[in-house]
Amino acid sequence: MACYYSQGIAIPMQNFDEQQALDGLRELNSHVIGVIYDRYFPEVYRYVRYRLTDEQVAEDVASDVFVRLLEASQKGRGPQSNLKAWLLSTTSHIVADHLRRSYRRPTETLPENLLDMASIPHDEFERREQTREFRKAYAELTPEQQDVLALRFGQGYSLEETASVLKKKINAVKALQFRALAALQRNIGEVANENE
Amino acid sequence: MKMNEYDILEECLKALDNGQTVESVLARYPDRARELRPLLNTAIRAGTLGGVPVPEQFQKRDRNRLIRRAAEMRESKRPARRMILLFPRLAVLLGVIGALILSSTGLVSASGSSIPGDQLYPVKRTWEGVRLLFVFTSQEREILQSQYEQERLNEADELLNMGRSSTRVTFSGVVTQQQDGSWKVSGIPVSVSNSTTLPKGTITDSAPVVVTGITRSNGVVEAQEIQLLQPGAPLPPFEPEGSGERDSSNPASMSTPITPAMPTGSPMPQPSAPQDQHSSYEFSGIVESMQNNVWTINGQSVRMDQARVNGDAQIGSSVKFQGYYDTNGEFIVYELDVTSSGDSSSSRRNDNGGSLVSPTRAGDKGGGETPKPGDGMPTPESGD
Repeated sequence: MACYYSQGIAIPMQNFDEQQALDGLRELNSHVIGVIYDRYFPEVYRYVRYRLTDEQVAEDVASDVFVRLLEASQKGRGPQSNLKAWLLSTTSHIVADHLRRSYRRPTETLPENLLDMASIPHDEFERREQTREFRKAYAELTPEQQDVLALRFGQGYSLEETASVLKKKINAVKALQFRALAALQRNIGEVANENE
Repeated sequence: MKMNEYDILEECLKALDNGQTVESVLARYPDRARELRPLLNTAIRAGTLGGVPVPEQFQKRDRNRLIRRAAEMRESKRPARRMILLFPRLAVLLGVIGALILSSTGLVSASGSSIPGDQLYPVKRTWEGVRLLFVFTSQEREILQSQYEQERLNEADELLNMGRSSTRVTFSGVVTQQQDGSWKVSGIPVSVSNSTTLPKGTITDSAPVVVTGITRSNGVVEAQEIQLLQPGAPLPPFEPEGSGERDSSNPASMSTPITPAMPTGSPMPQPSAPQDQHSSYEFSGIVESMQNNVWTINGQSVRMDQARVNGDAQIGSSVKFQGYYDTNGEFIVYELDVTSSGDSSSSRRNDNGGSLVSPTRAGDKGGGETPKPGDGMPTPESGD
């Protein structure tokens, strides 16, 4: 059973104590940092991949989140209580920054290889087309709407967890989720019409 | 009302999460089905994009990079603090040196075997402080502190063996037993009562602690205060030297060397200790520095002179290693396995000029204990 160590206490991983993890983080305890990374990297990475399609960019962003965690905790601006919410909130900001930069310096996405597209089965082609339509429709949403969908449906977070990451009240998250789904549905329809 | 729509949608989403179909969910809200159906279908579609696989190779490399970055940040913090501490230390140092020169030179050596309660004991402790002030590298400091911690434990053990009571002692060690008010800390019987000041958190078995108390004639230390060892402190000794020699007539004494009841993730006593009569321990951790056969792993200095290194060890590598404490309190590694390497860009050679990989020995490990997976090195992080 893996343990980590902080404030003189060895803590089994499954009994992850957030406060002790935060203390260890401030002390730059290698073991604690490793445990935090192992615990939260998958969630951070999946969240980024939901928001961004580029795998390499997603890796860079997810990596950057944990470096910022170290730096912020050393400057006294790190998480004080809810580590996961801090990480996901920071991730959201980094993704938003990346998207802003991308909008300013747009790059043309290379079309999928036509020969490859021709050689794949019809069902698979349909699936890829639907994913592409969905991605395009999703990209048209506001950053907040993208956030709420990524957290609620990509990560499977509860309303409470989502509210904590977005720093909103639960009723506000409910309303945002309603509007995000409605807008996404409209966008998907528009993208499908464009393709016809 | 708009809020009702939000709540209804949330109820429908929860029902979908619980495995209900869209149609069965909509049957509960027939008058809103037309509006809700596309939203629920969109929500289902939105859910299919999640759960992408995490790139394991990248994760491993990135983890090592992060831990290395943390080690660098820790190192960069140290010099500034040391400089601040240097001047007050120098002032104290000069005063103590002057006092010692004026006094007899034999005083220090005579005080070496003193124990708490002896007249020369304050001289012994002062001299220890002076020696520490002359040490300017973290490695040497940690080793010396470890020796002193071992000495404190030996003194407590000796006091109990002699039956000397009412002597105040402070020592650090590892909690190896907790039965009601009868504890053992690195083999020293400690009596814990309602009047003992304990830290807020729970003290678990294998937790390193500092015990302050009074020796009693029944062979126990009556604890006045028990504190969790602060990060940055040297690894506490696990047993007093020569603990097996304690008087067996003493009900609280131990006639055999202590085998700490270590949970997983703590130093594991090895049944087949290969180094004479030393107890063998197994740790895992991250290599943070490699200098002059003294490596730092998770903030702890270990000696690698006699180590067989299996694999390509680098800064940032995850390693499992086995070794023992020598009589000076140093941890001597006799076998080290690299479980995952750091980046090749950070690969280093030791100061002897040779690769840290031991080509003649790598891979020929045999006879030793198999490292336990997931063991953590239960040492406080060096964070002075």
